[in-house]
Amino acid sequence: MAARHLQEPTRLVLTALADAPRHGYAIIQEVLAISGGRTKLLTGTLYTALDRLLQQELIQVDHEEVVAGKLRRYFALTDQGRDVLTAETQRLRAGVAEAERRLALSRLQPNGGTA
Amino acid sequence: MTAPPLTTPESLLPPARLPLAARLPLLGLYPAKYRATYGEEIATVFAETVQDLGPGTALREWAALAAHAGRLRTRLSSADPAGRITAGAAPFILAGGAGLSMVQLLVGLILPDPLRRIEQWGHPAIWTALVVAQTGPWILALIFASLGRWTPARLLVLLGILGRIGAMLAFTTPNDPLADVLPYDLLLPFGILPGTVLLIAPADAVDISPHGRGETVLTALALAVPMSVLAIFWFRPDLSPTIAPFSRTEVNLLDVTVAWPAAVMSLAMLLHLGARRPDRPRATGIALAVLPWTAMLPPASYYLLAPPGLWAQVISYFLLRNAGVVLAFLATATLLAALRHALHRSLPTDPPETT
Repeated sequence: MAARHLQEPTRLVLTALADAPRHGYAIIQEVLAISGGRTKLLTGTLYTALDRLLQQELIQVDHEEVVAGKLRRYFALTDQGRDVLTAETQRLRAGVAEAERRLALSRLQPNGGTA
Repeated sequence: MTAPPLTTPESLLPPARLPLAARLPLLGLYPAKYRATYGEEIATVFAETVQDLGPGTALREWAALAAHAGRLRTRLSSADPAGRITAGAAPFILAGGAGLSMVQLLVGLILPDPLRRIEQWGHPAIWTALVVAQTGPWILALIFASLGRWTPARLLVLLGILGRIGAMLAFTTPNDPLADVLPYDLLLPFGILPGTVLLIAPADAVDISPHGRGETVLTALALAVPMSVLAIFWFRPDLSPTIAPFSRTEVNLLDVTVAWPAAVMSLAMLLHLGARRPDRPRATGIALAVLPWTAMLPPASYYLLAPPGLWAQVISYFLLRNAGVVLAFLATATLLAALRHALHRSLPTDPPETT
């Protein structure tokens, strides 16, 4: 697969699965929490992303269980998915670090002026 | 495994809180195989999601799932090869449509009108509105796409297609000498067929990364700038049928202009296909986006030199010739990419370092 930046919903779904396998509804809730309430995945959007991530082998079905009569299918990151999320995290971290460096520089200059 | 019911199981929802959207057909929209695997789970997640939502939001949830089901049925999801190919084509169709719209906006509104068609419209404002209606949405769509806003870009493309159809109906008058040529506009990148490919492409597979956006804008400008320059310098103040024929240089230049868009897009395809880790569905999508340039006919005034009644033959000649040019560019790009990969494979690789 060619290296590409992840779209935000994809990144959030991978992030939601980074610490533990989760089922569909739990992923929606987790993404809502991770994004500070900004991103509410529609069920259709979630399953579109899950289909694609399964096809790209970035996630896999971990296990299934029936809880209170409801089928729960748990999804988990694959090693490849973990690598992709790690690379994306490093890319984002580099961007944040650079932004912070420049902001700090501008604070050091009188009146926040430019060089 | 027994197939789940075709609507959301009511046992999953307290009946008193059952929103209207939950009673709409849903699982039946999915292909049987997918429904057997994921139907019950999707019904569960949908039921849990909509139970505390208002009717509008619940309907939006239902619509997103119905769209998901539709994509799976038509094999146009981002997990399907056809979906990934259309997603690869979409930015390049947008680039082509927007680039060509820029040229048409220039020719239609800014440059003088050699065929004096504006005069037929009585009021220039009507002409301006028609030109803007078919070109403006595509240019705006490119701007939105360049900002990573694919959904509004797609809506604008839909508006642009409708504007083009409307303008075409308005432009075509009885005995109009251009009536034979105008329908081919609908096959060009800003026309119905390519525009539809863009509209049905799965948005989650379209490359809207900064690199992808830059590529789309660069492609649009690579098309628009040289063609605009030619439109400006090629302008002839008087194109009545009695004028002297075009010079050989002018004819050659026009022929090159017709082939130029196919050359630019084929180069983009070569860059993707020849990359170290080629994204083949994307490259195939770009090839798909090159095909509409077959309908890139020379400016209509070009035909005025042909004897009356022979336009259909002249157009057929250009279409066949363009098809040859487009296929030749695509074949060359594919061959060069294959050569690059063969060369890369034949080069000795460095042995792994030992410590």
